[in-house]
Amino acid sequence: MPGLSTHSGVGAVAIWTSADQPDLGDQLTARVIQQELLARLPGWRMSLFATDGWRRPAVADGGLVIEPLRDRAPAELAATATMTVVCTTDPYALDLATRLDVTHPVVAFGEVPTELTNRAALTVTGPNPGLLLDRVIDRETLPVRVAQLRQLSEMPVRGYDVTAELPENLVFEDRLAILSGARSVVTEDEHVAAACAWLGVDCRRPDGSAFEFAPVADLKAELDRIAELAEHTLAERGGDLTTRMSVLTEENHALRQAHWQLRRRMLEERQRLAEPLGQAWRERDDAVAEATVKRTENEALTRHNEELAARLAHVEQELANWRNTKLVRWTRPLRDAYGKARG
Amino acid sequence: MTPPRITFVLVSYGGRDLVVRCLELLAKHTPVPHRVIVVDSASPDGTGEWLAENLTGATVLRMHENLGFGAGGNLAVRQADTELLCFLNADIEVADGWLEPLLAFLDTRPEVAAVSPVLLNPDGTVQEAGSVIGGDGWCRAVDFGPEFVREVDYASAACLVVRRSAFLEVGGFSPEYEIAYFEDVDLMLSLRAHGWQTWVEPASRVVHQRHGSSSSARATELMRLNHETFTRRWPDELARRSPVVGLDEHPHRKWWLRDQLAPYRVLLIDDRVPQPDRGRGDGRTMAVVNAWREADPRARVTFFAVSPERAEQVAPALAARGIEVVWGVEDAAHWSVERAGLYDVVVVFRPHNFVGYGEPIARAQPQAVKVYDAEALFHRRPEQHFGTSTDVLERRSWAVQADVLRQQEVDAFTWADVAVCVSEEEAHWARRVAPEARVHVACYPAAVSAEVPGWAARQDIVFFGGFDSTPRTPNEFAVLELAESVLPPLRERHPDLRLRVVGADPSPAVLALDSPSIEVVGKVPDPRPLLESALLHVVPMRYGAGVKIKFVDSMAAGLPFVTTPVGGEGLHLGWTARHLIGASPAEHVELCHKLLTDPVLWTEIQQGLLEICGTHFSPAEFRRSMRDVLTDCAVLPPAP
Repeated sequence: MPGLSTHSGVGAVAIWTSADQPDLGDQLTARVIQQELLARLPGWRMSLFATDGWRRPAVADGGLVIEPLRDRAPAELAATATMTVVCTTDPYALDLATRLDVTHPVVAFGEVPTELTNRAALTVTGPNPGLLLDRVIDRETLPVRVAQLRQLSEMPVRGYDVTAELPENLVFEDRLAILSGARSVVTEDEHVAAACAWLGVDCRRPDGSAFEFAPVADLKAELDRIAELAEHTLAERGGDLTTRMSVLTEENHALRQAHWQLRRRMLEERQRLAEPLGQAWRERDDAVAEATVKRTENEALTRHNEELAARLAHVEQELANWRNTKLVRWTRPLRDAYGKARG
Repeated sequence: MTPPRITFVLVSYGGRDLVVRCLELLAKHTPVPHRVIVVDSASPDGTGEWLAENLTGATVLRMHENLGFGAGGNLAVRQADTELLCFLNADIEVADGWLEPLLAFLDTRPEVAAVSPVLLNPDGTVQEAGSVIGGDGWCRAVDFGPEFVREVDYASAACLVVRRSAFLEVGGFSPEYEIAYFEDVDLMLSLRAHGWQTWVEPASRVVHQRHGSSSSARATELMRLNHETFTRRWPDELARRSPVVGLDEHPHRKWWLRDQLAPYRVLLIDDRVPQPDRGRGDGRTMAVVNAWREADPRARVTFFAVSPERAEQVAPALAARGIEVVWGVEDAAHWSVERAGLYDVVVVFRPHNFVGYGEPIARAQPQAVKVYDAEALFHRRPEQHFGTSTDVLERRSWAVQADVLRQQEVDAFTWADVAVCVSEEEAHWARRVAPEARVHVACYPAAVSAEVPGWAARQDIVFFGGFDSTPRTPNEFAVLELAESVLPPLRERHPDLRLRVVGADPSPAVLALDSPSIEVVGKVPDPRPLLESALLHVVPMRYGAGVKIKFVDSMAAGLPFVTTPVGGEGLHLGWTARHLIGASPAEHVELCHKLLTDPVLWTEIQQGLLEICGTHFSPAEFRRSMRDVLTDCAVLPPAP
């Protein structure tokens, strides 16, 4: 297992999660925050952490690489990231988070103790991240997974309802697939309900009441604020945003240059291709015109030939008729004899 | 204890002995902690039962009916709890050191989902170094061309390491396929559709025995059925490709298919596979190749070495960095016809390569942007000889040589769409003879150490330059002049002064210089320690063109040098020039003496040279220059 990444990239966000636990909420929150922040902070390193991380492998983690928090010093953890987002209720992680240096910005996500809320630069309490699964899972893969589960006899072929907790040793994607294929879901788990809302599956509490969630736009706004805080922190720390801006401007210029050259190249190639093509078209048109003339001439000649053939046939017929006359037939021996006599 | 990172997945259908043999080899040659899951796809011969009862150290799962490889793989992955998966066919034979390169590759390339070793036939020949997928939906193993690390269209799941998260993200093996064939091809396209890449790493090699578990008639039928499914599922993807059927009649399509994922394809042509430790401009060639390589790891960078010199030894290091190295080609034009229409850019170094290779090769690549990289203006060397020679016949010969080379260089610059020179002076000449070409200056990157030793930590003088084992090279002339005309008068004033001659392949005349006051060191793996321990670098060179890389290295090592106006060309020496450049041996003696006796001046010169190096010859400056070359070739520059 590689060590803690220190690759700087643009900046780095450490996301402290409970993704080493099997519940849907543990898996879902980590993934959503990681992908949503990455979309807002392209080029940044987003590392997932959990109390035991990869030291506690589980089927449910779906192969995510999660760094362990245990046995790591707060200073070491703070040094690897520009900002830390805490979205776990694990006591060990929460205690560690409160011991991070006060200058290191921390964002508390969800219900966390007051001690952490007090030192957090931002606290985000709602709505459930399960409503924002678009960047985490490709909807089109869910029917494929449903088909796989059915093929392996791990899911009913016909319609079904989910009324109990799903088994623990299911990967995140399978859980979503099972929920997506259900007619209805009954649960007390708010994360399951949020995922069902995203999937468009009817989901209620055991007492029949429906779940209510704040608009997803609120969560997006909170994530925007987290991203802004990250950029601010980076600027304050290294003051490197201005440099970055100039680097990006330079890159933008180079990209425009390359794009311009590419367009120019395409134009040149098009012209190079069009030249012989134009010549070929001209030659083709000439050939077509010539062929038309020849065809017309040919038709005329054919007609003339037909006329001559008809005339010939007529003349031959006349000749044959003449030869068939009694005068010609009967005088033939006489004419032959005359011919011989003349030598 | 560190938990396992990888789970090996085998799907069996009969072939108990093969499975056992495969697992034995796996256990023997896989030192890292791992898990093994064997899924038996309802073998009719009792293999599943036997494995379940007898296999230790592996999880055995049994399917109630033969659902095939894809379903078996999906079932196994659902039980896996590791970061990585490795699909293995039972007829794969692994050997020592097979896994480490694959894991190392994935650790350094987060954008790569899957990596495959090269599959070998039992006789050791290459069976498959990745495969190509044709527009007709059929695949063909890449068992042609040089081997190097590269992205592939498809790599067989006979032996494939995949990130579990990526496998799950794309939905695993599609259940639409029959028992076997094409489910792994489909997986590769799904991975790519989700932004992942698949690579082949030739540092890892395994033997694939190819014992199919279905009869050939059954196999053909399955292939036909799954081919239909595959073409139905990926019509748009296939529409962009040439067909695989008929590849042998149209060999250029092989290369098109092999390289179709690359964002650009560049061909670089030079004398030999670059050996930066031997001078002769190879260090710069390597830097240019690196710039093309680093601009995009997925790009196809092909290096065409005209001479096979030391290619066997040097090429593997380039191949490991994803550079295809070609050498030993007898008919360059025919070689290019085989790859007709493949390259986006063709770069030629040096005029003789333009004449013999660049121009004939470019004929079959009419679409390519043509780049002439001058490295130096070669006609200037015979011109300099013409100027110094006193023999009439010799002068005539130099004049003829200069004429021929000048014409070749004019032709090369005129032929090029984009040209690269190493100094503004040479670029000025190029712009004059070829006003249509876009001429850039990109010299050579030399990184300045954070701390270089000062006057007190240094002693003696050094000469640095390669000799090519041949007489009458510019460096041989220079070192002979140094030993004969500069060193003796200098030693009169500095009796303990010693000279070290550092450089690959010293000629007999250079070797003969070895004496108590002159040490012929020859080639060293890294000249830097010698340059950082000497007090002065002296090279009275009369002949040469372009920027002399030896002086850039010298500047980067904080080592002042004394040379001629020819040696100082293009170095941006500014005010330091009057202390470093001399035209005659007498001037050189004076300049050397001054620098050897004046620590204050020496230190000022050192600081000045370090500043010049940082400004004009830094890696950042070179990257910037090469970025401009790339963008002029319509290639996107590397991300900042």
